[in-house]
Amino acid sequence: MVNYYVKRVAHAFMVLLTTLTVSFALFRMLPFGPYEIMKLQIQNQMAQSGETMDVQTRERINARIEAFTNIDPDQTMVEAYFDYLFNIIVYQDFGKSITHNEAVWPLMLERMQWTLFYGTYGFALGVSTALILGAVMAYNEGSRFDQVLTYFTVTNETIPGYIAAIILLIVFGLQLGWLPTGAREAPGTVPGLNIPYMIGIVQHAALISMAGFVAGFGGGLDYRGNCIRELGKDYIRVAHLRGLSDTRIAIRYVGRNSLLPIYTGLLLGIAGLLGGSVILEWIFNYPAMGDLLLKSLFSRDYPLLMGSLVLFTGVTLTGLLVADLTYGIIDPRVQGGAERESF
Amino acid sequence: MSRSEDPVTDGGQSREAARSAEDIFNRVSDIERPPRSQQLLEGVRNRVLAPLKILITDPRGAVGVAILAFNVAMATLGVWFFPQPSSLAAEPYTPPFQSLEYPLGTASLGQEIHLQIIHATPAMLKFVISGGIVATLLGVTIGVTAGYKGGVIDYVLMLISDTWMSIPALVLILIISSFWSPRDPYLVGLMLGINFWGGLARMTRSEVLSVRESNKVEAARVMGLPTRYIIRKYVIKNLMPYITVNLANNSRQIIFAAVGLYFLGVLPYTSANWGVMMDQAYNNSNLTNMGQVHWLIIPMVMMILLTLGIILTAQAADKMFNVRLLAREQADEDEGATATATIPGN
Amino acid sequence: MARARTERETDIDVVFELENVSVAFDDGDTVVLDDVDFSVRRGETLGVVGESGSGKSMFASSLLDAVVDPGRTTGKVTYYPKDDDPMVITEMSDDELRDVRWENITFVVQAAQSAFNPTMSIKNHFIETFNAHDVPKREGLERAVEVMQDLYLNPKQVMQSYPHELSGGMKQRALIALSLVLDPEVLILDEPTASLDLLMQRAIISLLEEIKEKYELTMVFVTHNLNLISVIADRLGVMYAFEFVELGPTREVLTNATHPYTRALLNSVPNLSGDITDMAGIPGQAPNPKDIPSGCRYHPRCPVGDRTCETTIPTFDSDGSDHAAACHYPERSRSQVPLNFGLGDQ
Repeated sequence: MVNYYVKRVAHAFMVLLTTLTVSFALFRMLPFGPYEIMKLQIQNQMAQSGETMDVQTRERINARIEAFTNIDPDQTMVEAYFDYLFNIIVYQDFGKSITHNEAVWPLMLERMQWTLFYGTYGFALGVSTALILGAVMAYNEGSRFDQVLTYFTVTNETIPGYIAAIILLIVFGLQLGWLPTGAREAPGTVPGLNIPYMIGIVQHAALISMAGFVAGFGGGLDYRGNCIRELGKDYIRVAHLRGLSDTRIAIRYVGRNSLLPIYTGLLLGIAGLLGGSVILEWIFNYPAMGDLLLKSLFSRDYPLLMGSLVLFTGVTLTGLLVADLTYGIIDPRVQGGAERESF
Repeated sequence: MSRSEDPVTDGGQSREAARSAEDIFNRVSDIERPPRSQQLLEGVRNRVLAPLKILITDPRGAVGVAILAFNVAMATLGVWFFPQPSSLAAEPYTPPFQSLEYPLGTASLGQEIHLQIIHATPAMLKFVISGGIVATLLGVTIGVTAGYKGGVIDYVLMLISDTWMSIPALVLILIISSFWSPRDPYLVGLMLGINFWGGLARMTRSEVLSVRESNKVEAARVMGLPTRYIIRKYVIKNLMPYITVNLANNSRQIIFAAVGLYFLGVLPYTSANWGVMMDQAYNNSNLTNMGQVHWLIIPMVMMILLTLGIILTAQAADKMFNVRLLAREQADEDEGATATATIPGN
Repeated sequence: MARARTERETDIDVVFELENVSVAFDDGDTVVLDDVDFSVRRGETLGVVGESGSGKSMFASSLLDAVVDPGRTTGKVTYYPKDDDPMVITEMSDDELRDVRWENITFVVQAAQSAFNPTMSIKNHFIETFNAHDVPKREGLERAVEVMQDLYLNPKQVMQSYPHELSGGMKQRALIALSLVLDPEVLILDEPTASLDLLMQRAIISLLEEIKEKYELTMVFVTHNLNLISVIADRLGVMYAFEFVELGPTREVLTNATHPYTRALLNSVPNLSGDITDMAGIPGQAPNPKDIPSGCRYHPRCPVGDRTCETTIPTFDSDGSDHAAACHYPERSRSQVPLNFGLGDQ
């Protein structure tokens, strides 16, 4: 039991370590990789401002690169690798953003809050709607309602979040003008616990959340299938014979047990959410984590780019780890859990 | 033949007996092997026509196949038949469904949107083909290798695929595209495809592990059948429904990602595709003006349609792997074949 | 029908009375319980035997109007509680039924092994049952402990367990404990021992006998296992093709069966004392519910019958005693189908 938890955590840590290694390798080892490109960038800047390359300048360049990336060009690759890991794991030090001239980690954290804010808001709404509809469809299997919604859900799977976003933007933002189409907060409001500010952030997050809502909808059909399977189980019949109320059976028996097979998938949805954030934030001009990542890509801000890669992976990994560690609680059958691997 | 009654004398008889014994043990089959051409025909009938018939008798399959066929037609015949769109061909932002000349209307510079769509289709299909194939091949190969070799190889491969799965796909693509911006549509598909093999690899591996334990594989191994054969016969066959669904899902993801990347402007505009169209429409049109929105909407609709075609076909294809259904269709095909074969005889 | 009324009139204390009860699927096309009139007496153990698919499970389900969807029960089932007014089960609303189920009548289903929610501890199954029937939790749990001890279960250990942690026999006994915890009057058991090994079957049967005395239960015990039922049942009903063909005191039926089907059924039972060569299956097949023979339903398989049996439906007659059968030729049946069943001597 404890062994299982230790194993899962260790595995997650190994995956994180692999990601860091990949990120380091991309960063340092690729010919004309970011490290080289950065060096060129700075040299160009210097050349433009009329400085000449001598030993001193070279040292200054190296010092600057080191300041941005935590990379000391004089170190061997192995030393550099361990330094890189050490700085990230112990100090969460991902270096300094070139464009923002700020430490990467706090910058990412600040932006991440906003992504998680609108993301969980829309995703939670989407998932709960999907689950409720899935269950209702299962209870009315084969009915008109079931058929129509099945078609609807299949169609929904063919629409990526960003198309939903564009349509929402055009209809509610631009044509009807009901909701703001850019920025995170209403202009002129003071951040803090005051009503106008709170209303402002909710309004500004509304459209982008709705797009996330559409993206979170897909689980409904799987859930419907699980519910139908569950409804045919013997213990459901016994529960009816035991005189339990239909509500109790629907929630504690059908609803909950049907959740088990899609539980991990739901938590994995967070990964999809983060990936989608890049494009959604671009469409809605919403400055949060995805926006930060995209801009760092355009400006070749490598420390920020690599930091984002590690952060996104870290968040996904945490989601999966939580799924694994809590699965034993919601399904007592896998308490031993040795054979269970969700990732 | 009574050899025991008469063991010494009649040599001829005993030789005959020996020959008949030999004959019994060496006889292969009384059935004449049909000529090669007919074998080939039969193969086509059983492996292509019968599954296809199952596919299109399902309404979802019929719609799906029709959509896919339409897209393929646009990408092959359409490109050859229709000219490239030209600027100033007509009034800018002519609305769609007004004239036969510009059935889908025109864009900001008066380009015919239907021609833009047609000439953007080949790139889309290339993304899907190379991406889908790469993702599926990688997933199956890595899964089979991990499951069969076990031990350290298994652990390392699974660690890599877990890592891969934990990185949000679009983010990974963005990072890769910052180092490498492929121009050829096939290469773009390849780049997108390497993101989606993780899940399939895991699934294949667990299938290999469970199949390895099964009695029939045990028996096959005792009989000395090569591993390659066992994998093809049992593992891949069992996985076919899953692979199809995965292929469809990967194709969907690849379409979404490709269009998304071009729409974001991350990849260089080297080929006309629906993502590029959307990006141009998004940046050049006034979206508050309903008269200009169709330029953006039409490629989106095309993309949804293509995805729908893939998903519906995959859902119907599930039935193709239903052995009983397939056998019935094959029998039907045979009947049909014999029927047509007898007609000239009459 | 007439017989059932007389039973009430002759002061026999009846718990259940069935009048013209049928169960049908497919909008009445598939009749799986056909126009049954029956009464269950208070305090008895009624055994119901028959081949698989003879309608015995449907009979059990119809007592509680608990036939699985989309089956429909028609006719009238009346339940006479000990100190309450009669209730017509077939006319009750869902809410009313909920109250009667488990409080007055409990039903131990065939699939005891999967009767528990796998994600809930056994204790929670008890608690939710108490909540549904407004029984105070403390009081209920005290009784549950008592019942479990009577069933030789370790209450503390079993209560904490999840279903998958219990063995088959333990699960079966836990289900029986759960069914007795609200002190019901009637216990309906549908193949309660089907998935257990022989030793466990015997153990459960003797437990049921003890329990029945202690809790003053009426039991309806549906099974295909004649060996088991003969130990415990007071009366035995034999079903063939969705209706009762014979009913009487167990010993009477076993030693002096009237209906040729009952006699054949008894002869087909394997037993240790008899000669294996005497054991015989029943030739022919049980009828399909969509295609029921005219006249006596057993006539296609009956060695005794003649023309009359093919056209005329036999009445369910008794010879004045408690023993009744639906056969035109009871004497001929007794003489032409000799019993070689050793169980009557046990």
